Amino acid sequence: MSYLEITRRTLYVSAPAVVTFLLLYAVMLQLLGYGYTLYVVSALVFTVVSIGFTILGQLRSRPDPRARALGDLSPQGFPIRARVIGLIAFVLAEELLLNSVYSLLGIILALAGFVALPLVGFIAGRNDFWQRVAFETVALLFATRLVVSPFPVGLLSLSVYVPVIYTLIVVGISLYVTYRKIPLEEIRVTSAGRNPLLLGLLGVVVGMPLGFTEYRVLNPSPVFLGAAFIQTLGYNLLVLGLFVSIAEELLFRGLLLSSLEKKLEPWQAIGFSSIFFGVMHVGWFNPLEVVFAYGAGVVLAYLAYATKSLTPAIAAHALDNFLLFLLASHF
Amino acid sequence: MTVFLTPSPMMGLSSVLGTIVITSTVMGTSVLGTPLIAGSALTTVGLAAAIAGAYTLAIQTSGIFIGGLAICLILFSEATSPSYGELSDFLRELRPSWLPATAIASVLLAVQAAVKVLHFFR
Repeated sequence: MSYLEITRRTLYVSAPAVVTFLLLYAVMLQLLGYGYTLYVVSALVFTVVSIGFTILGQLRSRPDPRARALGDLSPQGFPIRARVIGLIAFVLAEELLLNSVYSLLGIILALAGFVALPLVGFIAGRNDFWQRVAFETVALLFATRLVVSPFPVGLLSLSVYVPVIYTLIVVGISLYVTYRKIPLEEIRVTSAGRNPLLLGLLGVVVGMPLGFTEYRVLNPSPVFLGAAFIQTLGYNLLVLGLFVSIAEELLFRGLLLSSLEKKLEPWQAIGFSSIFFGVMHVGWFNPLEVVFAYGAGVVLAYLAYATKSLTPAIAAHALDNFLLFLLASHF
Repeated sequence: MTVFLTPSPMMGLSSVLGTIVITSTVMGTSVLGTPLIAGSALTTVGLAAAIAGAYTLAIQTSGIFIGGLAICLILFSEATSPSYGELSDFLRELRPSWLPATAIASVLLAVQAAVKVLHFFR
C-alpha cells in the first residue's frame, strides 16, 4: 500500500472522528453541563466514535494484497479487530474506574490486566508472536498504572514523583523488550539510516503546534522548581519533556503500533494505537484532552510510521510537553 | 535534507494530515471555549475529595496485591524452570510470556521494600 493511500485512509478516519466527537461534545455540554457525568459520557462517546470511524474506514477501503495476505479482509481478520476493540474497552473501563470513587476496582482491574493479558495473548495467538506482543503491551499499559503503588501518597513531591515514576516505566519497558528479545529496529528504536538531527528537527516542527494546542486545551498548573528560571527550564526540558516522551513513545508508537501493524493495515494500526493513547488520557478529567491525545497520537504514529523511526515522534512529544508546562509557568 | 526528500509525497501529506487534525482540534477547543474541565468536571468539592480519598486508599492497598502477585509470579518462574526437568508444552510456551511481568512485579516489590525501610528510618 502506498504512502498516499495510507495517508488518505488515516485522514478519512481520524479527521471525521475528531470533528464528530467535537460536535457531539457541544451537544453533550448543552444537555449535561460541566460535571462528572459529562466526563464519563464523553469518554464513552469518544471511544465509540473513534472505533466506529476506524471500522467504517475498513469497510470503505479497497482490497489490498498485503491486507488479504494478513487475513485482515477475510472473515479470519475480524477476530483480530474484535480483540483490539475488546482491549480498548478493557483499558477504558479501568481508567474510568481508577478515576472515580471506585479507584480500588480500577487498581484491581489494572492488576488483572497486567497478569491475565499475557496469558490471554498466549491462548489467543499461541504461534503468533506479534499478537502476543500486542496483548503484552496492553498489559504494560496497565503496569504504568501500578508503578505508583510502592509510594505512599504524599511521600514524593511533584518534582520528584514524575522522574521516579517514569524511570520505573522505562525500566519496565526495557525489561520487557529484553526478555521478549524484540529487535529494536522492529519497534523503531533506530534512525532508519537517516540523519537523527534532521529527524529531530522534523519532530520540532510537528511538536510546536501540538504544544500550543495542548496548552490551550489543558491550561495546566505551572511546575516551579525554586526561584531560578534555569531550574524550571531544565526540569521541563529533561523530565517533563524527554523522560515522559521516551516512555510513552516506546509504549504507544514503539511496541503497540508495531505489533498492531503486523496484524492490521497500517492506517488501521495508527487509528487503534491512537485510540489507546486517547483513552489513557481520561485521567485528566478533560474530554477535550482525550480527543486531543487521539489527534496527536495519529500525527505522532504517522510520523513514526513514515520515518520508520521513533526519533521525530519523541522530539515532537518532548517539545509538546516542554511547551505545555513552560507556557504554564509564564502565563 | 534527505529525510524530507526520500519518499517524496509522504512528508507533505504528513503535514496536511497534521494540519487538519490539529486545526480541527484548535477550532473545536476555541469554539467550545474550554474554561477547562479539569477544574470544572468535578464541580462539587465533595466528589473531588471522595475521588482523591478513594485513590489514596487504592494506592495503599495495591501494594499488598503487587507484593502477593510478585511472589506468585516468582514461584511460577522457579517452578517452571527448565533446570527441573521436562515441562508440558503449554507451560514451556507460557513461561516467557510471564517472565517480563515477573521481572516488573519483582522490581516493584523491591522498590516497595526499599521505600518502607527508608520511610521507617526517617
